[in-house]
Amino acid sequence: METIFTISDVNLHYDQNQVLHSIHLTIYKNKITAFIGPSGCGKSTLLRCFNRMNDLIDNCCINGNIEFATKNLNAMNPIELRTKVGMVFQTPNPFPMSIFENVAYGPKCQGVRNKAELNKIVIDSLKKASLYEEVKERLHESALGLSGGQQQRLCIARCIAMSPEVILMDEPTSALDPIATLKIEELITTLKKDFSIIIVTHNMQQAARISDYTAFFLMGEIVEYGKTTDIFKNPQNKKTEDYITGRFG
Amino acid sequence: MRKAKDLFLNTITYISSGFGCLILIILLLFIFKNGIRLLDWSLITSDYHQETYQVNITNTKNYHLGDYRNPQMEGVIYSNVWGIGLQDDVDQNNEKIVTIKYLAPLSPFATIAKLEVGYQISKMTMTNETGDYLLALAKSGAEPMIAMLAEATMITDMIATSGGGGIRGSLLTTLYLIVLTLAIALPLGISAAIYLHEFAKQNQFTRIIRMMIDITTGIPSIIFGLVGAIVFIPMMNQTIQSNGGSIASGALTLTIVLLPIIIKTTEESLKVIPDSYRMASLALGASRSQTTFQVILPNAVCGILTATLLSIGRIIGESAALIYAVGTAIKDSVAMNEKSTSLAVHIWSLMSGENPNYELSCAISIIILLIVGIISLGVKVISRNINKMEVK
Amino acid sequence: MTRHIRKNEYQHKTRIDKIIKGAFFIVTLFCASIIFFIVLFIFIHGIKPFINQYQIGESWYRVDFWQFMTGTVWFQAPNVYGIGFIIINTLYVVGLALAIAAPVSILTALLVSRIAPSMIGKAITTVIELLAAIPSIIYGLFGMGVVTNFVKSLAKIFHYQSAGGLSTLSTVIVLAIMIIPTITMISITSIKAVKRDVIDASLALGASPTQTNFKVVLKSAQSGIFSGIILGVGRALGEATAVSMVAGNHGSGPTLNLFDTTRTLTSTMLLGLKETTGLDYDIRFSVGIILIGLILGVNFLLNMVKRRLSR
Repeated sequence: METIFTISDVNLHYDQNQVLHSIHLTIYKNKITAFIGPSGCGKSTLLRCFNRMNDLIDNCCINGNIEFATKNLNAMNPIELRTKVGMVFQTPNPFPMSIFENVAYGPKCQGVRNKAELNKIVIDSLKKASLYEEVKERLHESALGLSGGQQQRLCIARCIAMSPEVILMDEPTSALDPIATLKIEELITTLKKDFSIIIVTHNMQQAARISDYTAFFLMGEIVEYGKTTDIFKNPQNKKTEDYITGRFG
Repeated sequence: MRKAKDLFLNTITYISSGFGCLILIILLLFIFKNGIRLLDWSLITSDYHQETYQVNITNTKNYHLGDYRNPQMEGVIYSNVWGIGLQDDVDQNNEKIVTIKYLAPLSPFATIAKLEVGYQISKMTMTNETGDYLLALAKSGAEPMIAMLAEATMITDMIATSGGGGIRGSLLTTLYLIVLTLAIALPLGISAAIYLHEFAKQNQFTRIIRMMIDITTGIPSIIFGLVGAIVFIPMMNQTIQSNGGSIASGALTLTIVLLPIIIKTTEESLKVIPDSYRMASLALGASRSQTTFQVILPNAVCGILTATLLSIGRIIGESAALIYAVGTAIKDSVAMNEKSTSLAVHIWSLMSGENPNYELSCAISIIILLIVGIISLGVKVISRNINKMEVK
Repeated sequence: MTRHIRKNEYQHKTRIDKIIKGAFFIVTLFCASIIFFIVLFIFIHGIKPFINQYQIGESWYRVDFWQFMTGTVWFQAPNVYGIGFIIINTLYVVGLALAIAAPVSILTALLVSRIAPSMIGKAITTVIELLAAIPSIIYGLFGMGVVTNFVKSLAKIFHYQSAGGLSTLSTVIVLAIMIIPTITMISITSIKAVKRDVIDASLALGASPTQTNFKVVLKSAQSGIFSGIILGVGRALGEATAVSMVAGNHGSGPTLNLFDTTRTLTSTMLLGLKETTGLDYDIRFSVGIILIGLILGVNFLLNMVKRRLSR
């Protein structure tokens, strides 16, 4: 199995507050890895390390080593990194532009100007995000007119248009209704053949349903990490078992 | 007891509020009553300075006195002998004058004196067949003038004026000032606002910078005028060969007046843009600049438009700064490197001499108030749209 | 995606980011330093009358600083200038204007935010916004046309000969009218921001709405209202055009009588500008320095008072 991310001994501080303690983790290629755990325990913070979005926060201090496909993350150009590691956010955030423009935004920033090529990229990405059939008649209408679930799939399409290697998802369905959630979960499982996916979720059942590997976070530390079936059927650590069975969280 | 006190307090509260409304009504009444008479198209298009002509019609061989047909125009008193029709009128200073309302094509006034309809006659000295001198003054009116013309054979001396009282020069100057100032101030102000909101770290240094920009808003405009006089006037004298004040130095002065306002207003509209747009754009691999220009700025257009409208309002109303940084000479031909007056300074020039011209000043004020009113309305409409966007 | 990109395209983009950030930073620095340059230039130019010698007629003269600051006559040939009385005049006129404007503004703001039905409130707010948008030259025109006539008639009632209405009282009235919109708009915002539960608590204790308004609401909003007052005072101190048109420019002083002509720092700077050169021109910059100092000083003092009040 190929590795896409290797995290060694990562500690993260906001000012005096230590948010991540000594994180060791291996993320595998073309698999879905889920981060679960109670709120505020550092899952999203670690996720943001993978595309260096934490760089945008003023008082954030990271120690340790993260390697992306054997290259040191800090040695890479952050813009280049973000074209390879995409992110979908918790609340759908399409730009106030047309559906077409939203998906075409990323490629345009990277210099793609050819209209035919942009067209192809947009349609392919929308198809891969299972959105094309629903919007093909209105590609040039505002993206803000879509429903919440459709907007989130649009954001996923936008991300796919960049052909990244990894897609980071920060609680992508927590703002959506159950039916939309189901659609997106289906989508995520189909995406795994082209991309490696890391998903932060509050919803344990979601993690159990779709992920291959699960990491359980508590207070900024990884308590347990392994195959999802192992974590949920045979948790090694008592705290993991308590969380999974709902005794706290 | 308490009820009486309450009633008293409420009454004086209502009266105080009425004070403001009263003032507005009196002010508008004053301006409109005095200015409305002069308000017509020629005010906007004609020159301010009058052209004076001194002519005579004495070479009897070149013209022909005779029977010119009376066009029967209402209110116009006509001379069959000379082919000229005159009417009583008042000028912008409310003094009596005589206007030429009709000229027969072959009238000596047209062919020799080269006068035109619309010109005003201040005085005319004529001689008749017996060599007597006849003097007609404008303040005596058109009738005596025409009566004297009936027996006159030569016009020995005549003073006529044309044009005057127009504000075309000042209107053009105001336009130039607006365009030039905005062309410089908007890019500078927007850049500073973007830096402060998008790029700068929120630390002590940034706070100091913001404080310094804030203090600048509290400085009275006359001080900016002083700075313009000693910095921009010499600067323009060196670079664009101006002599003393110029529209260019005025525009530069107005730029530093407007910068804090533009920065503040633009920043307010940047604050409204959700952070998630920035995050999404950066997460897609766009650079900071691409995010700023392709996502942030298009959404800040409302705020920038508000800043533009506020600036235009400020430029039109600004007087003290321009008096120092440009000057108070009213001009009809306007150029970037020459002095001129904006509409507001034109009023100052009219009112600060020995003969304050209330009518023309009020007419200009009507124009200024109309423009400022439209601008205020525009700003209100835009803010309502911004609020709608926030709710979404 | 990567096949479209040159090898160092990302470095190129990062470099562009740095350049643009740098360019914007320089612009921001320039904007922030404007205040600094203003004070510097005016100081350099305004200090000249006290240091350099000017040639007037046959001899060379300098202006004495102490006399300048304490003098009671503006100009005595060839080199005596005094603005002591002008400073007093300015503070006097602004103080009186504030005494009229502050109560009117605060009460109007109270009416608009709390007492009047919303239609009337909106109408009055529009009136105030219109008044705020009127440029000072038009207020000056209004002052010359209407206020001076009013004061002239008033003076006749008191059997006082006024100079065609140009007077301290005219200046005070015009300034008051000009700062009422400023103070009112800020007061409206402050009063509207008073928390609902404070008002409810007062009403629940059996106070009438009027008592609540005057005892609780105004007190809660007082910090914001005071900020409005500080802004209004700043505007009144710096107002040049309108004041110059109604003050009369008296040569000496200070003027305390309401019907006498007066002179403020700003009217001194503005009037007679057409025919000035040399010392007479430069001395206006010295007046400018004093004006800046006065505005900063008054602002500082009032902010101290505001801080004391909010404790």
